[in-house]
This record gives sequence, structure tokens and C-alpha cells, in this order.
Amino acid sequence: MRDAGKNPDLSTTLVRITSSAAFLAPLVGIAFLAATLTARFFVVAPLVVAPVWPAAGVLMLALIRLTPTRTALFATLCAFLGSVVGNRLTGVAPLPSFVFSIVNCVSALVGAALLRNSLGQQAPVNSIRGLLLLTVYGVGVANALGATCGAALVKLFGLGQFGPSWAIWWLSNALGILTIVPMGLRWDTVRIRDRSRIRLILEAAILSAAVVVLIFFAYGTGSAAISLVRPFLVFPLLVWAGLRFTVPLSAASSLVLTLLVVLFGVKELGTIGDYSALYSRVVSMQTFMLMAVFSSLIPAAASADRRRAEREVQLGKEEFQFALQAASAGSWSWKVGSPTATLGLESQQLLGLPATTLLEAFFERILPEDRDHVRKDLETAAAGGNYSTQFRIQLPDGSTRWIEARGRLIVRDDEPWMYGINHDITDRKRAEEALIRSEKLASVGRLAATVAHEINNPLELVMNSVYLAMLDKNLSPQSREQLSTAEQELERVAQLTRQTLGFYRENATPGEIDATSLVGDVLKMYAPKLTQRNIKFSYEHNGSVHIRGIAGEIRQVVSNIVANAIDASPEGGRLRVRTSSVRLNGNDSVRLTFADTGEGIRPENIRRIFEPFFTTKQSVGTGLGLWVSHEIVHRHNGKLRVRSRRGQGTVFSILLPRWEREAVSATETR
Amino acid sequence: MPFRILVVDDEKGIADTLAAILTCSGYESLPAYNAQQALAVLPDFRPNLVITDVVMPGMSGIELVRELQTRSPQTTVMLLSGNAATEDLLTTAGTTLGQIVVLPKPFPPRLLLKNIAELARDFVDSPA
Repeated sequence: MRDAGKNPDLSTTLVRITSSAAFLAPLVGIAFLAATLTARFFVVAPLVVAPVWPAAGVLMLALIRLTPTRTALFATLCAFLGSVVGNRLTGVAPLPSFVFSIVNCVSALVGAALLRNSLGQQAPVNSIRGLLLLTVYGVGVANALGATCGAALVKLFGLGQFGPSWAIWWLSNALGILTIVPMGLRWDTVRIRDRSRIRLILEAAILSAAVVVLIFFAYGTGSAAISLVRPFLVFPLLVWAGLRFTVPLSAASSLVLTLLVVLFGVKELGTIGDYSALYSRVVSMQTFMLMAVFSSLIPAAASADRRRAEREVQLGKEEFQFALQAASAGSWSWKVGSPTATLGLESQQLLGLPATTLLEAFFERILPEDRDHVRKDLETAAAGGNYSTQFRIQLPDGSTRWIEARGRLIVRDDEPWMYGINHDITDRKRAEEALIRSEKLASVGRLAATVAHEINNPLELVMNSVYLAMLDKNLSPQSREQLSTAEQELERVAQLTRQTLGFYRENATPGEIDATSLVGDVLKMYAPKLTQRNIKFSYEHNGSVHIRGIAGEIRQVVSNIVANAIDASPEGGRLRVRTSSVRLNGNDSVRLTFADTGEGIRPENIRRIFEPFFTTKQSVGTGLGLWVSHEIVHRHNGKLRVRSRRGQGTVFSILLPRWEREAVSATETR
Repeated sequence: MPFRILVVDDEKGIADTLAAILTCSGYESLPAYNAQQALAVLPDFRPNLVITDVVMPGMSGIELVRELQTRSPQTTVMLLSGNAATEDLLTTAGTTLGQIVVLPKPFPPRLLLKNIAELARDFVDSPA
């Protein structure tokens, strides 16, 4: 337990130590010392300035990264000490060591300040803009200041000429800055996504090996033929590094290259005694290296920019996709006049169509009754305007969905295009429909209740009066017949109002009903009509099954359904009726099924057939039969269900609770 | 002793014609035009059957049924209702259907007479 508690403390302590000024500043000092010693090793006498000066990059990087300012200044002090020690160790006199070190530190401070100001402390330089700023502020302004001061001091101390010293100083610092600073800055995470880590490491290893082999081959041998072309041999490798790797890796490979070139170059340079010849060789070597570094850094920065842009495009695409998904919407585009349209992923799923789809295939998806208005809306919008429409589609699985489509005309590359989205609004539409339906039902109910009393009372009075009139013994036969006709018509009206405004009850007390014989009676009643229409019918049952309810009402329901089946059946159709006992969800039930071979009910109508006043039988239907039937079955704690398939027929089934007669009959027989 | 029927309806015409039909069919019948009137004649007329409308100004048919069930339990009641929701009204009023027959209005007199004839036969069969 003590260990478990100790570990986080240890790591926290480590982080605190490694990020403290007391640790970092001396580290910068040591790094500066190491860089100085390395660089001094390459100084070619009689020149006093090193051809490469990585120490300049080390300090500038430290000053850009380190916060707070106090730490940065402390690091500068350490670097100054490192510089003095390094110079002294490599035989530079005390005063020049001291003064050169001041120049080194001041120039790094100026460069870091300028870069921090323009790029920010955490700024990425893995971009063309970053590289440009590093070149202008770090390599240009700050380094020119350092070179001027340094060369003036070289002249002052009588160590060399101003011009050559300035050039070598400036170039050596530029190389140091361009190779070291990019390696140590924090990079924003632009991953190279198309390659695995292992492949990346492998490629870097091959590249490094190639660089080393090439340098040995080109600079290690003194062949004149090779020496003519050798400067150019490294460029493909550097461009490769720049294009395939991130900026830090390119900078690192440039540094390796630079050091190797210097190492081999210096070996050769040592043999040249003439000052001006030596000077021009060093400068041209430095210039070559600087160009080499740039030819690696520029492609690296440019490809980082490109990757960043690609990532932004990708993110934008993804955001767009997510937003569309969240809105259950899909995009589409159509070049006006083209026979095909392009569908986004979500649109493809919504419509069940491929990405590139024929416009006609899209119209085929739309229900025929909506097709024309969608076509018209699209044409109107294509002529200039906004496209906003709603329609129903039928998917291959037979389901119907409501789609809202919106779009607008956009001119792209001088061509008119329509861009828009499809949006699934099925749920909203269903809710709206349900609301309208329930409102309709409620208003019908209110109307019925209001009208019922007003109509039924006068009807009752007229009916009674006619009856009384017919009791008159002196009535002429003609009048009696007329009154009889009036009475019959009145009963018909009464029947109608009962069906419409209330439910008929011949006997209000529920009783035991034998469903099998009730259905048989109704079928017997319809037998002539069935024969006349040449409809074959069959009735399957297993003897009596009992339900409890109002016989007249159940008869009305069965009669309604049989009558509907006859109306729906074609000549020579079939009607199969079955009465059976079933056990559903632990309840004993009686099921009456009526299957016809008619045309079936349209899917869009199937939800509405139990609504009042809904009918497809234009001339003969009242639109009340199934509504009343549904209400009656519901009042008997039953369920009225319908299944229908276009062209194959319709099955109505009535499910009613079975009446437990066994217990009653047992007591009776005793 | 003839079968006595009290007809209650706020529509005077209905009450009168119905009473006339019943009288012509051999029953002793009396019309009343509201519930209070019906209750007033109850002790003298002592009806075997009361046929009453449901929706009436003042005291409703349902209230009349409740009153009859306490004052004259042996009297059969028929509700003649123009409203499909009458059964629900009865349930809400806490009155069990029991002996009460609910007939929809309009109801053909012939069928009504048939129903009453069955009641009257039971009445003769079982001397109260």
C-alpha cells in the first residue's frame, strides 16, 4: 500500500523537477556547451568561425519554449556560461570568449522574442507560414544582428576579416537554427494517417541508412567524377524525407546530413592553405547545406499544410454527415436536366436507392398519387426557386415512409445544380394523422350526442302516431297501405339513426351466445347472395363455443364483415370462415376469422378503415359499418383485427373472451 | 286486474301517443309529463311498469329510476332513451341495470308491445 501511494508521488516529483528552472536552465547550459564543443571541433584554421553552429538553435529553441521569463533568462545565463567554457576549452582567449558569448545570447534572445511574438509559444512551425517566420525572424533578423556584432568583434580582436567572418557566422548560425529549432518545437498533431507506425519507422530507417551510405560514397572517396555530381546526390533523399515525414523528422535528417557533410568536408578543407580559397570553399559548402536543409523543410511544411487542410475537409465532411444523421436527413444533388441524381449515404438508406440513381427510379419510389406534385415542384425549383415538398415513398419491403425534401438551385461551374436534403418525417406525420383522427372521432361523438336527442324524439312521436292511425278500424284499405309503407320507411330511418347515432340493442342484458351457430345463421342469411355472386364459401368449426354478450350486436358485427367480404370478392371468389377456441396470453378466447380472396385493402387505407365515415365503396357505403363493429367488439372486451395483402385478399378476425360455461352446466346437471 | 303502465316523457306528444297505444292494446295506461308528476300519481296508480324518457328537464329519468327503486321496488322500469350513452349514465349514477331494460328511441311500437306482453305474462304467471 505504501508503494501504491509512493508511485504517483515519485512521478509527480519527477515532473516537478524536470519542469523546474533549476533543472532546465543548467540543462540548456550543458546542451549549449556540448553544441559549442562539437562545432569548435569543426573550425577550420585560420578561420575562427565554425561552419555549423547548432548552439544557436539550441538556445533559441530553449528560449521559445521556456516559461516563465525568469526561467528563460536563467537558461540564457547558463548558456552564456556554457559558451564561455566551451570557447575557453577550445583555446579562445578569455575576452573574445566572453564577448562572443554575449553576442550569441543576445542574438538568440532577439530571435526567440520575435518568434514568440509572431507564432506564440506553442506555435507550430510545421507550416509554410511557420517556416517563413522562422527564416525571416530567426535566421534573418536575429542572426544578421549576431553575425554583424560577431564579425565586427573578430575584426576588432584582429582574428580575421569582417566580410568572410560575417558570411560564415551567418550561415553557420542559420544551419544551426534551421536544423535544431524545428526538431524541438511542439507540433500540432497532424498524423500521417495512411501508414502504420511500423512501416513509418522502417521507412525512416531505410532513409537514414541511404543518407549515411550516400554521404560515405560521395564524400568519402576522392573520385573527381563523383565530386562533380555529389552535391546533387543528396537532394532526392532530402525531398523524400520532406514529403514523407513530419517537419521534425526532416529537420533531424537535415542535421545528420549537415554534420556528415561538414565532417567529410572539413577533412578535405584542411589541406587548403590559401585563406580566400578556403573561405570561398567553406561558404559554398555552407550555402549548399543551407539549400539542402530548405529542400527538405519546404516539402515537409507544405505537406503538413496539405494534411492539415485534408483533415479539415475530412472533419467538415464528418460533421456534415453526423449532423445529417442526427436529423435523419440525407443529402442529394442533381445537375438540372441530367437523367441521374447523386444521393448521400443517408439518402440512399432513406430511399433504398444507390448513390447514383436514375431520376425516374426516384419517382418510381414515390406513391403514384404524390408523384405528379413532386415532379412539378422539382421542375419549378429547377427553373429558379426553392424546392420544398413532402411525399410518401414505398420501400421494397412494402413499408411506406413520409419524406420531406428541400433544396435550392445553385450555379456551379456555369451549370445549374440542385442541392438539397431528404428528411424522414414519418413519425411527425403519423402523430399529426393520429391527432386529426382523434379530433374527428371526438367531434363525431359530440355531434352524435347532440343530434340524437333532437332527431329521435320526433321520430318516436311520428312512429307512435302512425301506429295509432293504423288502429282505426274505419281506415280505407288504400290509406292503410300508405300508412303501412310509412311505417316501414320509418323503421328503416330508425334503423339508420340507431346505427349512426347510437348502437342498437334489441336486448340490453348480455347473455350467453353460441358463436358457432350465430356465425352459421348469418352465413345462412347471406347464402343466396353468395351463390348469386358465385362465391364459394366454407365454414369450419368444432361445435359450440360460447361467448357472453349481446347477441344482436355480435350478429351485426359478423353481418357487417360478411357483407364487406362479399362486396370485396370478385365473381368466383372464395370466402373461408372459421370459428375456433384459442388460448392467447393465458386467456381462453373465441376467434372468428373471415378470409376473402378480394383485392385487399391499400396499405394507406388499412389504418383508417375503422374510422367513422371512411369508405371506399363510393355509392353504397355509409362508412359506419366497421366503425360500429369495432366499437361493439371493443365493448365486449374483444379485438377486431385485419390483415390484408394487395391482390391476395383480406382476413378479418374477431377475438372475444370465451364464456366459461362448464362450471355453470356442472351445477345445473347435479 | 289489468297490467298498469305509467308513461313518462317531457314530450307531451310522445307520452300521450304511447299511452294511447298501450290503452288500445288492453293495458291500463297513464301519461305523465315529468318525473315529479309521475311520483305524484305513484301511490294511487301503483303501476306494474314505468316507461320513462331519460333526458327531461328538472328530475331526469335516471333520478326517477333511483326514486322508484326505493319507493316501489316491485315496479319494473323501462328506459326509452334517445341517447346511446344511457347505460353509461346509469353506471355513473350508481344504479345497477338489474331489472331495467333500456330501449333505443325511436322504438317501433310493435316491438315495444311484444316486450311488454312478455312482462305482463310473467306478471300473470307469478301472482305478486
